[in-house]
Amino acid sequence: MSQSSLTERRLVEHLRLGSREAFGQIYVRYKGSLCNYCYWLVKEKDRAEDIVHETFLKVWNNIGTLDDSSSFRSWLFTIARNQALLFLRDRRPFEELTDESSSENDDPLHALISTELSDSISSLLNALSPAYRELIVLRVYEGLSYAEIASVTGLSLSAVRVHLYRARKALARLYNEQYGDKDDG
Amino acid sequence: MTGECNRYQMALSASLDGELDTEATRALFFHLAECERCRLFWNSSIRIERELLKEERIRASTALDARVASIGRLGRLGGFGKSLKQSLLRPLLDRAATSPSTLGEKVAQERVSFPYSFAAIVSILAVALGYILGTVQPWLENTMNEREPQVVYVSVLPDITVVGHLTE
Repeated sequence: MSQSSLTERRLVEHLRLGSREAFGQIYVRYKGSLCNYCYWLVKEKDRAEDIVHETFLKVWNNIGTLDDSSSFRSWLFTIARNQALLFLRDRRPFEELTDESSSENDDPLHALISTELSDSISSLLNALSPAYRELIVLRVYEGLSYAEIASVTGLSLSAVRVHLYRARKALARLYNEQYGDKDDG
Repeated sequence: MTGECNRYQMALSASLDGELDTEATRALFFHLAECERCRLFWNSSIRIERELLKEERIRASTALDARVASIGRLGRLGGFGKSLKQSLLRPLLDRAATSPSTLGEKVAQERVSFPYSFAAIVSILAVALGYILGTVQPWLENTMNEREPQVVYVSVLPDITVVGHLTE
């Protein structure tokens, strides 16, 4: 049976029944997104791949615990995030990723200069706090909705909205400093 | 910047994400037409988003493909079987799926270690084997000894020297 045209919901149902083909299709569908997301969380490509591997191992073994097939994507990203947090907990203080106090009070431009980043636009992301960076990656790169981001990060919907705004504002400030536009205040 | 601009810019951010209803978006753009600061924020945000999307993203390697492909091979197990599979067989499958150069790099980068459960199982098996050998072997020897009674033949007799005389 060819499952190439199946919707995600049906793929998940097939996966529940133990279909390896469905598992493969889900992997192909999400491997890029998860690798990219995990990379921005841990900043190491090899480790990001290890986390993605662990994530799919958990998906295969625990798909039966997923109540609603429609929330598969946020479930998948949540597993990846938890795996990344486990890795970061062992590597460095946990609060680096979850610290939400590092917002507008920090000086992102100073961080930008001190880390000697390149001119690439994505390097501006490195100057953001990890919490803001994660929100930008989930929203801009992976296209998750506010509800999905709230589910993955454990924030409320309004917090997602406010933090994304602040992240954009910090990013705009960095961008304008870097490329010489007028500060937007 | 006024508090009103803050609210509008937050709404602009939500609008950029498609998370604002039509009515609110309309009101937003009326403000945008007359506020230069908010317009600058809007333009910068759009430009940054476009630039970010143009960036090349991290891609999964073929080694990861092979590792994930090995996941479904053993089927799903629960309880002890699951932990056994993950502790014993999964690392072997992962290593087998990894190319030699990558494995070499991994060995160089990571310290080599066995899973705790693997070490525990090996230890238990070794103790059990020792116990079995310690109890079974003497038992076997005793059993063999009981089945066939040993007969000792004395083929060489010592010389007898008679000392003294017989008297009536």
